[in-house]
Amino acid sequence: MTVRERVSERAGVAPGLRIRNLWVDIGKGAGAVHAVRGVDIAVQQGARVGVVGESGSGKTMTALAVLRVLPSTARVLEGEVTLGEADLFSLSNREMASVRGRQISIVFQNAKSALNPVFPVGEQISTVYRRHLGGSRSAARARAVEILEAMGIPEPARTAHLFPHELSGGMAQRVMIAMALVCEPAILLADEPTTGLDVTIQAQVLDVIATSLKRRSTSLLLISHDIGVVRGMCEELVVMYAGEVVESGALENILSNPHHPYTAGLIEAFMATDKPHYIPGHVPTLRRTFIGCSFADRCPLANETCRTIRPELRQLADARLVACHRAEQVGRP
Amino acid sequence: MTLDPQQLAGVVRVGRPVAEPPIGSWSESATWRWLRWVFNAPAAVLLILTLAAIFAPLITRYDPVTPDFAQKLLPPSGTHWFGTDSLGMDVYTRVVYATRIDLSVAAASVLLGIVLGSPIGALAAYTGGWFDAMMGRVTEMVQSFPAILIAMLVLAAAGNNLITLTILLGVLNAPVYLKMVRSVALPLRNVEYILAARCSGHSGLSLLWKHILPNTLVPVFSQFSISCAFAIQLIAGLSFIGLGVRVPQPEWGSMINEGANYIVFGQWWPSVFPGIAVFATAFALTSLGNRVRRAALHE
Repeated sequence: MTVRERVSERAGVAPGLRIRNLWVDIGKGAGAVHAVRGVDIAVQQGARVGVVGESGSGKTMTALAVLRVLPSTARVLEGEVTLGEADLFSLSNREMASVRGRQISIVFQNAKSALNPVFPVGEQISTVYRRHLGGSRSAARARAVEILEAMGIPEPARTAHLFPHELSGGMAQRVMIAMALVCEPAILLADEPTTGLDVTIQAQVLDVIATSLKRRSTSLLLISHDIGVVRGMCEELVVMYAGEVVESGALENILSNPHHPYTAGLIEAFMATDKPHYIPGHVPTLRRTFIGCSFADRCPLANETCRTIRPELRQLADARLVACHRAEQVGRP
Repeated sequence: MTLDPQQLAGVVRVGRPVAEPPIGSWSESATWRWLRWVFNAPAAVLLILTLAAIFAPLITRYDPVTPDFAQKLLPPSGTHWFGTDSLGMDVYTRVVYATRIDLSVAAASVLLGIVLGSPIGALAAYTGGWFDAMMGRVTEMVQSFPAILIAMLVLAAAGNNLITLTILLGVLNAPVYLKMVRSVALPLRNVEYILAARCSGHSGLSLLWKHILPNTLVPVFSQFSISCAFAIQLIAGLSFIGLGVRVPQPEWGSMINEGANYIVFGQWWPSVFPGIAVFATAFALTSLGNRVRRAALHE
């Protein structure tokens, strides 16, 4: 059975992405960083899921592990990633390469350094298109110009001949998104896609992503540390802390009524208008392992149970998942 | 106390105020900067040599390989600008025709070196492991022998002709490019656009060919002319000791060798003029290479 057959073709239903119990280590032995610790994320067909958390909470490593492009020092210890029916970790390297950019695409934070400096951007887009879908050079070139135009780039035919260093940050990011979407993938992973941009440009770029996803009913996994960005783009929210998912569910439910103290702190820090609000303490080093809850040291509600027993993700009445012994005391019922 | 401007210049860097050209004016346009950069002394020397090689029959009056024993060892004059050699052949004509062999063998061999070395270097950097280690040892082995020694051995064994010479110089040049491309490609493995290229489905050879190799070419270009200078010196050196190009084919090294016997008798012209040609060419190529390298570093 080929990948094409296992991953249901986009002519039919776009497949969903499911990450189950993913563990990623960076380095080996005593100095190993346990960057991702049993992460579960489900992205249904056409769904838009936001992942928020502080730097070093394992968001990016999760995305790279899904695409199997982890840095050479990092490795997956355990876990399963499925796209539709296909188990991505059991594909051969060649099959996996045909999934990247075709079924799952990724957009990085710094588009200018994520584009090859020695080729015009149009050529980079058409190369990706031809690699996956074949066709003539001229057809691919026309397709590149077409998608650049769809990304709201003025004078797309001229821009296609420009090199990355000739573009502004916002334009480069649009090109990057165009490259990610040129083969109409089932899922777009966006890793802090607008973090390096001005606020005004940010909104434009997010709008471009939202519009093009809607048109093709592409799923989105949006990784960000900015709740504002996620709120505008997603219906579902996953909150990560210290390499674990601490709360996940419908975005509005979580934002209006967080049940994990970390989520509550994050939202408070984001919403604070009068004075800077922060969660006391620091993100713990991920070299250590936790006996109890990883957030216990910073948590205002932590008790003896929290320090000794690891809280598992459990489902609450509104279908959300939360990993906290005292969730009922944090949120409203 | 008044300040002596000359004293001041020793302490503070005093610069003349420079009138800034208006932004966007033609004098600062990319084309102009490019032109100004390209047309410099070393480039001019190389341009003249290349033109001389192409139009050799038009700018000379004699045949480069026909001896005229009645005219031998004549000093430079109006009829023989660079004099004649011991076989009565016009030195100027031969210096001009020699440009053809020296430049083309040098350029061809360096190109061969690039074609052999660069992909292997990129592949070694990309795959790492045993292949990388093996290529490292092989290049060190080749480079640990003096080039001229290997050249002498190979030419003596495989036959003394221009094709062998070109291939030999190409193989001798390959390790330089292998190591250079490898060292540039090694950090590229962790560069974001290579990761992005992998994420958009490029893998294996397509990644290597389309994304890694093209980004290693800047140092290769700057090394090109320096390698050519090295190759020209090696060709001339080999011909001087009687390998590579043989008399009567016009080649600078063999001409120097021929003429060397007569220097003690005061007949300096058969060897000094080809010597100047070798020197000028090597110097121009080297300084051009350095220029390219500096420009690349600036970027």
